[in-house]
Amino acid sequence: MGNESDVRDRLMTILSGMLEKPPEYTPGADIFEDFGLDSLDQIEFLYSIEQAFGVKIADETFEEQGLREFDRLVAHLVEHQRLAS
Amino acid sequence: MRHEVQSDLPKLGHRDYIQGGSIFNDFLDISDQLFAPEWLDGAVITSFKLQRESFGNGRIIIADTGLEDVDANAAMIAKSPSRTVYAYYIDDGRPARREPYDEESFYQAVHVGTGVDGEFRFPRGRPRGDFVRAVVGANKRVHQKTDRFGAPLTHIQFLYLKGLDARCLRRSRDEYRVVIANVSVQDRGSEIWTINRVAVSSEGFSSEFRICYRGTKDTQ
Repeated sequence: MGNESDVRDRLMTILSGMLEKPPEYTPGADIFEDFGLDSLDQIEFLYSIEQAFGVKIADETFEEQGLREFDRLVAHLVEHQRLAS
Repeated sequence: MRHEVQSDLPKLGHRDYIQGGSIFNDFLDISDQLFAPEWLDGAVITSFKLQRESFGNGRIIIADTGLEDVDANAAMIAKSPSRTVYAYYIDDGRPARREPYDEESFYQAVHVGTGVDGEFRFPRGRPRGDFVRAVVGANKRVHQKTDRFGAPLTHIQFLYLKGLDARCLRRSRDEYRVVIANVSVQDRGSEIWTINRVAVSSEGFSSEFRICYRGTKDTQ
């Protein structure tokens, strides 16, 4: 749980920086539709994740695994960290 | 505060579109008129994005808060200790005059590597308007020359830059060394999206920012 909370906080920090304000989280929130990232932001967001978490997420993985949904993205990164430890 | 002006952006040289560098420079020039040039002291261009290519003239809006009701072709956010500036360009389709351009001979001499990387020298004393044009042009060249993706890239487009220290835009007393290195690639099938790190240095000064491009693989 601590790890999930940490991942969530770090993602929120990245998103706050990109959006110039903290995103308004609701369960099931879509990073693009609900938080307001645009299509150009996607590559920057994935790059920021790569820098912060050491994991490269391909565009197609992002779409196919539904990682636009914030909670799924958190779970994906938590799982990656668990496997890497 | 919301200040709106009609743009008078040129198409430079042989281009059939308006260069992002021209829009960027107009954003800065209009902000200078509104706030006095000192507004750039200590500023960082947080982001400059080209959402869509522009083929005509239109409106430039400068504001002190982000505008969510604007469907802009290009947008900039710049933060300085004194203020945050939001700038937007909306192409209305008004014809653009054509303006000769010397085709940036100063960065044609770019040293190009094979991995979306390269280096060039930005001469001392050139106006700030040439800096972003040179960086954008040199990055385009390294994308044209790379053999990293198994096929040449065509339709190479500048998409955005992030984190540009405004000191890079001051008319420099020294020559800048500008080094371009790729830090991320997203392969989207027929398209490649890249993020490059641009390192700028001169005597007693160094800074880095990121720039993003899209290119289409030419598989024919």
